[in-house]
Amino acid sequence: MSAFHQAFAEALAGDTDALATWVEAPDRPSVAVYRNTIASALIEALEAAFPAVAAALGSDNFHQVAAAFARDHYPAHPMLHDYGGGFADWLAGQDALSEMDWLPDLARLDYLRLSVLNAADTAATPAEGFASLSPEALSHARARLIPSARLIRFDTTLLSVWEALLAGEGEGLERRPEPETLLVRRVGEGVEVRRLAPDVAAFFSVCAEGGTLAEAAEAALTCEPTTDLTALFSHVLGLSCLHLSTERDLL
Amino acid sequence: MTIGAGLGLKPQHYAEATGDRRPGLWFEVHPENYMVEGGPRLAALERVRAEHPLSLHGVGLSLGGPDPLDPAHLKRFRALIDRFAPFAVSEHLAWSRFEGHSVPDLLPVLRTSSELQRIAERIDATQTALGRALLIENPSHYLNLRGHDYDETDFLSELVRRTGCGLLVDLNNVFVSARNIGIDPLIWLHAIPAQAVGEIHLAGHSEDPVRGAQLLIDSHDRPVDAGVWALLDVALDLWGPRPVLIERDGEVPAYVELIAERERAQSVLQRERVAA
Repeated sequence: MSAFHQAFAEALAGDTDALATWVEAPDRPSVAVYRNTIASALIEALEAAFPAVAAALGSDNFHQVAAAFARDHYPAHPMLHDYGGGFADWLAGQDALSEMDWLPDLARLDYLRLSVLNAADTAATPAEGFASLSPEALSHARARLIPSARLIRFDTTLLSVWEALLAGEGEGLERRPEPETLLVRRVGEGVEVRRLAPDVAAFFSVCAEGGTLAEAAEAALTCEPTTDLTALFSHVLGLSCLHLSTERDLL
Repeated sequence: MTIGAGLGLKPQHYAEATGDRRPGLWFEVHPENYMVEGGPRLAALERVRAEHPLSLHGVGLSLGGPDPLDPAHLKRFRALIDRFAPFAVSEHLAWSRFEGHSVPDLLPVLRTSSELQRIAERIDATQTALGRALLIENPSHYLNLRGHDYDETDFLSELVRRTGCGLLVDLNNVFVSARNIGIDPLIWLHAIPAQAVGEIHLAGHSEDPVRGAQLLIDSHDRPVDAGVWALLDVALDLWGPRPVLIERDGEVPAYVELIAERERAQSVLQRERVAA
């Protein structure tokens, strides 16, 4: 890095006098224009990416928190639409926010929503595609989640809190101490987040990890022995988020 | 189709932009906002592009920066060019990437002989990677830097001569810089090689909250200033008709309000002029 580039980077970080060789003292405060532009753009990007976190903190508090994150985390690339990948873990490490220990989970769900929105357009396999396979082939087939459908699991419920915050409601902010698996999927031009029944979650989880449909069905039965597999499979296909790959595809 | 006056495309205006058939209308986007795998954003741009000419105006190549050019970013940029076939592709005489990170701003370059050579090589490499000639935009200036070997217009002219690039002249940036660092905007415009100008930008600016009118900010959050409109007349007298763009990034108004500003630019473009 040239001396000028180095000095400018230091000036952005707060040491305005680093630019003394190139800028007269009375002009140096104008470096703040660059510093402020960068901070504003990064805060705006975080606010767009993390609407539930912003709603939970309130606008002024969110701006302070986002500014602190942005100061230490310049984007890895110039695309701001996915800025904030480390925000959830960073929130988890902030002592001042420890009483709001559900903020990181809100951030994880916010960020997943954004990832799903911009994910690749791979189409789900229609139900006819599954129906065309013999029972033997079907049980050995694997069906991965398409890129615009993702699972996320929490140890305590989160969806009702997330939805209430986005709706601007102060109610329903209690998390219940029971695990919750959510399916986040793109529908049309938006993103739908839905809570999965435990057997459906077990089925999708095996699919997501690359297991066969037989293994996914077994996981669903292990989770809920009375599961009607035909009904479950029909429900899963209705969600249009699996892409079928037969053994032939894998060769 | 004749390229007249255009608008910076905002997501809230996708539907109205797609359906607006007025002659000469075109749109411009930052490619960085469309470097996604899929989804509604790209689909909306496809719909707009099906009806209108499009320009890609980069903000992330960091042509004047210390880090090597990012091959992954160039590849993403090239993919958008191949997909959307823009009539113009532009970037800034600025930098925004250092130590492996990017910042959302356009930092000033030191216009020395060595930087001229280095930036020309980077523009050349970028044009090769993108398969297109670039238009290079003059940024706004907030600091009166010491140590330049070249005036900005001479530096830009040399880049044109050495790389075959064109120029995107942002008249709001000229206006803002004139106020902030004391250049003469008319001398600046006269020193630009007319044949190199491929596009003109217009935008609004604001006063610094602390220093007021002594320091103008290229904020893009209000209508184009009267002084910038006056520069457009001068520029078109000098260079003849060129694609003109209205940029708005903050306090974005309804489409109907923005298109009214675009109509003013279109009427200025259509005014009869004596050849310079």
